[in-house]
Amino acid sequence: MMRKFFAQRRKKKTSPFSQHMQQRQTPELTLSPNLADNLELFRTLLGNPHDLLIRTFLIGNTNHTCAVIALDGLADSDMLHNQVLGHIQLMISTSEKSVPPEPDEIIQLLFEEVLSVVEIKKETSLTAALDCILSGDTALFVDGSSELILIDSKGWKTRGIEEPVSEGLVRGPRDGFTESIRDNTVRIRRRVKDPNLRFESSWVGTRSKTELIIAYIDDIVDHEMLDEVRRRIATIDIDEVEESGFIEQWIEDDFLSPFPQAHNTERPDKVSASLFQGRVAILLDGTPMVLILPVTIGLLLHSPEDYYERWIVGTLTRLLRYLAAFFAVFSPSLYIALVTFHPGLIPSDLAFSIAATRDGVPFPAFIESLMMITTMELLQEAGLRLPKPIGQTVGIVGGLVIGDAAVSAGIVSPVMVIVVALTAISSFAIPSFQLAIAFRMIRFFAMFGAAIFGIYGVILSLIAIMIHLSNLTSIGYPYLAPLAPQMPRDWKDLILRAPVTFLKERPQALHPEDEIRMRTGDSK
Amino acid sequence: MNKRFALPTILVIVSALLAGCWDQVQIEERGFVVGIAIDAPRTKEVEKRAAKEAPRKPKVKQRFLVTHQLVIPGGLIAGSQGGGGGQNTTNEAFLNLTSEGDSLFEVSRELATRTSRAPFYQHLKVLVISEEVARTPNGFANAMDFLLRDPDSRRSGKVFIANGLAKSIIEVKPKTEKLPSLYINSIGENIEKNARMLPEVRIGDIHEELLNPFSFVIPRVRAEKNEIKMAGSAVFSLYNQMVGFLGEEETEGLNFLTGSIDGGLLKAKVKGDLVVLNIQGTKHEIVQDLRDKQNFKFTIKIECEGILAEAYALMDFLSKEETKKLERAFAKEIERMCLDTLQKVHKEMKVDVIKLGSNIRQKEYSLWKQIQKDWESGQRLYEKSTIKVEAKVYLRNVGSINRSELEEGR
Repeated sequence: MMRKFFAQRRKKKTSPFSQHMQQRQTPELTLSPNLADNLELFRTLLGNPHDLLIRTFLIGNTNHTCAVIALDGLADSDMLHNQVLGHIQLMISTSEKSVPPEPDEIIQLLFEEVLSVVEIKKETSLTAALDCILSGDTALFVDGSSELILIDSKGWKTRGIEEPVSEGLVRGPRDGFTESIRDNTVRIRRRVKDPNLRFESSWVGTRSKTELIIAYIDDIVDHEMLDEVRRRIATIDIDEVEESGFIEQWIEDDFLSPFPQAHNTERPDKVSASLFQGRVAILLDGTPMVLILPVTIGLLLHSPEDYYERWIVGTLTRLLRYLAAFFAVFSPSLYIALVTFHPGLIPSDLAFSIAATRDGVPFPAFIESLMMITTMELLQEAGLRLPKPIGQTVGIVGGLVIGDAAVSAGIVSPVMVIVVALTAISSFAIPSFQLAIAFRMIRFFAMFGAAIFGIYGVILSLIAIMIHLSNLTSIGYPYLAPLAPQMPRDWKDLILRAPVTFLKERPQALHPEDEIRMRTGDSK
Repeated sequence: MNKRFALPTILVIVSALLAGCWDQVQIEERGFVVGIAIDAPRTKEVEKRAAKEAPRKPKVKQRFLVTHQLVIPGGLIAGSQGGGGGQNTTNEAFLNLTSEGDSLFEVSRELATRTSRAPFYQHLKVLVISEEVARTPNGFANAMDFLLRDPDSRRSGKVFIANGLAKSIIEVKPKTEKLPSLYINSIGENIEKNARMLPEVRIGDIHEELLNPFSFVIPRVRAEKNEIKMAGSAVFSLYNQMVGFLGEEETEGLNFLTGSIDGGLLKAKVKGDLVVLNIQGTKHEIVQDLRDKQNFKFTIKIECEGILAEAYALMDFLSKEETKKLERAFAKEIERMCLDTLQKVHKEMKVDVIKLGSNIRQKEYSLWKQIQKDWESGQRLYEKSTIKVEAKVYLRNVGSINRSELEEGR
């Protein structure tokens, strides 16, 4: 039923897409040999903006008019002065060669000899030139030629490399991705000096023209998966893309699922490790969040630190985290179920003391926990929105309101506060923020189950979640791998983190082309 | 698409609505029953009143006077601010409700007319049945039926027989605990410290015993002013009717005979002075000779190990010979106690509470099938059998000192 629904949805999406592709290609403008016309065209196309820099000059001693066009701020003005304008004026005036009379020859001379810039190309299409100028390149015109030279002069202000805010670690590299895609590819290249590392560049967003790079290691990645990623990215048809979230939502397998089907991270070490496992990374210009595909549940629950610390520490923290995942989802619902349906399952003394503290609380346990959990969600949301100095105030006010005032006013019981605190702390212990959000949603589902059916309802909701998870895929890969389908070989890096020397193979779940990580054992 | 989703949606909604929340009772609204005492009513007053109200109602053989002990959770919190509960004025943690009726279920439902909190039996700790009820034919089994049958109650509550009125047992006001039932329950767990207490018997065990063709014992409790004493045991015949009590020492002997001693002490006299053994563990084996049907021979071998706890006798405990003497004295004491017990249960009461029959059933099942009708009843083969006791004691340690004073000092 669901599958059919999706098939229909895909069909609907593809039809306008193909129309659009044709539209996009039609307005192809070519350059005219007349410089003034070209400049005029640019001005009108861009709406004569005040940040458009146009400098016309005569070249050498001839009267060939030239012009340089760039956008102020996007293009590096130092470079324009020194390497472009300066060189042209100086070289041509001092060079022994005379300036050729034909404009096309001048272009050739400039292209081959004068301009001392690495990235440089000739272009005849005005549309393409416009795109390049809008991304920070500089166009050089010579009157009478229908070609222009595009000089790479990208040089805007970027944020420096800082420690990743959302994924702090005690042990591990401190650098994070930034908004500049070039800086980000550098961060990956610095770690992966494998010649097989590939960056496939394209752009998304019909208007925003945002650069997008698919990164992978050619002889590790499963090419079938890579093709699927490429195919899905090619279907993206939106006018603007600000964040990798748009990409994630466009290419995900199941839009109704609460679980994230692409993992986003701002840690370059995580990305490089994933590439070596056989995953694909998607980088997008303008955001420090890099997407990792495909997602398995392990990727979301593991932290890079598991690998950096010794294996005993890594294994124990993992166990703790799986426990936290369970508490984050089920502790309020277990509280409801035990308190309202099965007090016989609580040890007698505890049951009596819970009963004593709940004495006089006006709400049933379900309403009580619903109120408290909602308040906690509110606090969490409010704390995010507020600027840092005020954020602390929220913590204090919230802590006082939840912890103390509500209890002494007799609205909630102290045990409920403990349950809420346990839930909140557990959900903060989950390394992936996306997964923590998914758990927050499921928590309510389990609470409703508990309120209607007791423990039976909690188990039912657990079964429902498990059925959903084992059906879920990410780029066609089973979400619960290596648990379902079973891949016992991968289990040494699931709940247990085996010592590094034992992790000889790449995860089977990702079907890597090259399965072996350590070849030392093979040589003998 | 709407139609396709309609059916599952309706099913989900209906199942959620139909399921309702019939079991949903907030924890503070439950009346936790921690103890039940079952007595036989002393006066016929209630019966007479009932007969007047409905003269044509059929008369029943037996009536029960049942006391439920409910927990008042608010009273359990030390120095509670008094804001919460409100209804608890005396700051007592329990509430005893006594009702009379033909059946326990009737009494349980009658409680609903007297308390705001419906009785909830899953935390039942202690069930006390009075001697009087236990001595009436079928009275004990009748009193147990409701708690065994009710799916809402647990089989883990401990069962005791009261020497006197059962009600008075759960009405004691102990100084150490706030709930009398929990106090009785914890005393029941002290078997490791004292050999004179019978190991706990749970409601589930009772069910087993009721169905078994054997006699059995249940711990006895006696109420004193602010405390209870748990020592001795009540003996039930194979017809599940109580036939008598065993005293404290007899119970200790029985514990030795059944091998259910985890700890305790043993006193003996050596050279006219007292020595005390701290029992660390016992081993127990029954050797049976079943050749002669009319005279089965059983030898119960008891091995006991322990450390010397106290010694008033002056001797050198480090010498092997002396300790051997000690061991022999202790062994003799065990044998004496066991024989005393046997005298009572084998010769006087004629009940097989040592479970020798069960031993035959385990080891010689074909024989058991032939004789099971004639064991405690019929030909009474149990009575005709001979039972011997052999005890052995190993003294593992004489304590931190050898002597506390020298012989010359005396």
